[in-house]
Amino acid sequence: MVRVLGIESSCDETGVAIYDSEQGLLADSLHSQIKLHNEYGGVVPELASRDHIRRITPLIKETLSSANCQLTDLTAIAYTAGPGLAGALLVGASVAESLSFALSIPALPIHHLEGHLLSPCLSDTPPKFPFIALLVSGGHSQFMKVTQVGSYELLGESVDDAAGEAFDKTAKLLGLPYPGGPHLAKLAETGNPKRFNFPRPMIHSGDLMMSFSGLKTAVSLTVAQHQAEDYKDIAASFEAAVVDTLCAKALQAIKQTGIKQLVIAGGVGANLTLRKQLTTVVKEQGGDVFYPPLKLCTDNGAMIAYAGAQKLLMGQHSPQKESFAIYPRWDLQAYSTLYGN
Amino acid sequence: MNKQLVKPDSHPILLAIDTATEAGSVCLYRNEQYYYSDWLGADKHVESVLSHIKDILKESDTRIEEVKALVFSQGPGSFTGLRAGCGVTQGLALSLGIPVIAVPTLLMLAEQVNTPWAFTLLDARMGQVYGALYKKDETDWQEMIPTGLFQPDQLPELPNEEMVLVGSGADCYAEQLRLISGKPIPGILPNKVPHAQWLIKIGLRKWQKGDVLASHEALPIYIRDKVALTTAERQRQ
Repeated sequence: MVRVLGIESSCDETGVAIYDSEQGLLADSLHSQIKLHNEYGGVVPELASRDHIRRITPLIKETLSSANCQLTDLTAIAYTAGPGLAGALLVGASVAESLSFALSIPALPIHHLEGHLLSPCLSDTPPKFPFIALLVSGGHSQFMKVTQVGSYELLGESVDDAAGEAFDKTAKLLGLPYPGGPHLAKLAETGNPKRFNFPRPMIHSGDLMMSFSGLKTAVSLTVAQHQAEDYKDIAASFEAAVVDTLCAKALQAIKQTGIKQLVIAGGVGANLTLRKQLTTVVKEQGGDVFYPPLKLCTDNGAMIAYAGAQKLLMGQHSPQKESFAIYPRWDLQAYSTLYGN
Repeated sequence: MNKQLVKPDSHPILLAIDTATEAGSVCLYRNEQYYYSDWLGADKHVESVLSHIKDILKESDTRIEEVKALVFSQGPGSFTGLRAGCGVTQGLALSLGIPVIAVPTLLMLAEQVNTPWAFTLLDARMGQVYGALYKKDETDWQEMIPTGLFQPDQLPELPNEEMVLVGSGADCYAEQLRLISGKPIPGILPNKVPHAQWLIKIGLRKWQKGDVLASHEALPIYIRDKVALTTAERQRQ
C-alpha cells in the first residue's frame, strides 16, 4: 500500500490531493486563480507565484484534514516539477522537497503532462494499457502512445498554437473574458456551426501533426467583417473546425497504431462538443474513449498524487539527490529517463 | 499576524534561511555556536537551500527534528529568491510542527551597524532602492521609517542623529544619493550584505519575546506590488 500527497502549482491553480493505492482518492483540494487573473486578460506569472505561496500550506493542511490523515501517514510527496511557469513550479517544488526531507520520505518530481494523461485512470471506467492519449490544453496538443506508466511515445503534435490556446485567443477576439475556452464553448451552444467554413489545417497530412494558428487568423478576419450578433455563429463554427480536426487526427492515430483505446486529457477535454463527437467517431471504429472525471480535466493535485503512487508501485524511484530542480520546459520522453525507463 | 506562546528557552536550536538577494545563506544556531554555509547567485537558491541545510546539520551533528524554530528573511528582495526561502521554510515548519520567525531583509543590515541609527538601503533594480530607518534602543532595533521604495536622489528626510547608510543600495548609488531637502547624506558603511547569521541574532531576540508565526505565515513582503497592467489600464494607454 502507498499513500501519496500530490502537489500541483505549474500555472494558475494550486492543487493538493492524497491518493491511497487501496482506498483511492482520499481528498482533493483546489484553489483556482481565475478571478485573480481575470482583470488582466490572462495569467500574470508573478501574481500566480504570489498566490501559490499564500495558498499552498493552508491547502495541504485542509487536504490532510479532509482525508483524516497525518503527514506521518504518507509514503511519499509527489509534485509537478515541470513544464510550467518557473516561479509557480518553484513554490510547489520547494514545499514538497522540504516536506520530503523533514519527513524522511521520497519526493517524486512528476511531469505535468504525465499527470494529465494518467488522469482518466481515476475515473470509474479506467482504460487499460496500451492506449493512445490525446492531450489538449492551453499549452499542448499532442498524441502520445502510452504502453505503461512512464513509457510514452510522442506520435504527433501541433506545429504552432495548442488547441486550447486557439480557444483562448479566439475568445479574446470575440471579447469574451479569461479563461476564454469555457466561455467560447457556452457561446457556441446557441450558434450555427455550419455558417462559416473555417479551415481544418493539416487534416489530410496523413500524419498526426496539427496546426491551429491559421484557424485563429481566419477567425480574426471574419470577426473584423461581422457584427456582435454573428459572434455566436463564429464561435460555433470555430469550435466545429477544432473538433473536426481533432476527430480526424484521432481516427488517424487509431489507424496508425492499431490501438483502439483513446484517452482524452487536458482542459480542452472538458469541451462537451469534442467529447460527444470523438465518442461517436471512435465507437464507429469499434474503439473506446476514456475521459478523466470532469473536475480533473483542469490542473489538479489528484493526477500528480496518482502518477506518484503508480511510480512507487512499479518500483520507479527518482535518483537520490542532494538538491532539487524545476523544469519550466520539459520533454516528456526525456523525463521518462529520470525514473530509469 | 498572531503571536504564539512558546516555552522560554534561552538557547534554542534555530535554523535560518536567507535567499533575499543574490548572496544566499543558511545558518544553524546550537549551543551558542553558529554553523553557516553560503553561496552566490540568485538562480542557485532553488538547488542550493536544502543541500546547504543538510551540510550544516551534518557539520553541527544535528537532526532536523531538533530544530525549535525556523528564521527566514521575509523581504524585500528578489521575488523568486524570497519564495524559494519561504517555500522551504513553510515545508520544513509544517512537517516538523514548529513555528517560524519573520525578519525584514533590511533589519539584517541594521544589525551590522554600531551607530545608534541606521538607514538601510537595498538595491531594488530599475534605478530604485528599498529603504528603512532603524533606531537602536536598549534591547532591539525600532523601525522609524517603514520599508519603502525610493528614488536614490529622493530619500526621505532623516533626523539629525548619529547614523550611517548601509547596504547594496548605498554602495551602488553612492553618487546619486540625496535627501529630498538636498541636505548632505550621512556617511556610508560599505560592503555589508544580508546573511543568515544576522537572521539568527535577530531571531533569538524575537524567540525570547514569543514573536513567532505559524508555518503558513512564512510569506514574502514584496513592497513593489504593481507587477502588471490590467486590460482596462492597457486600453487607456
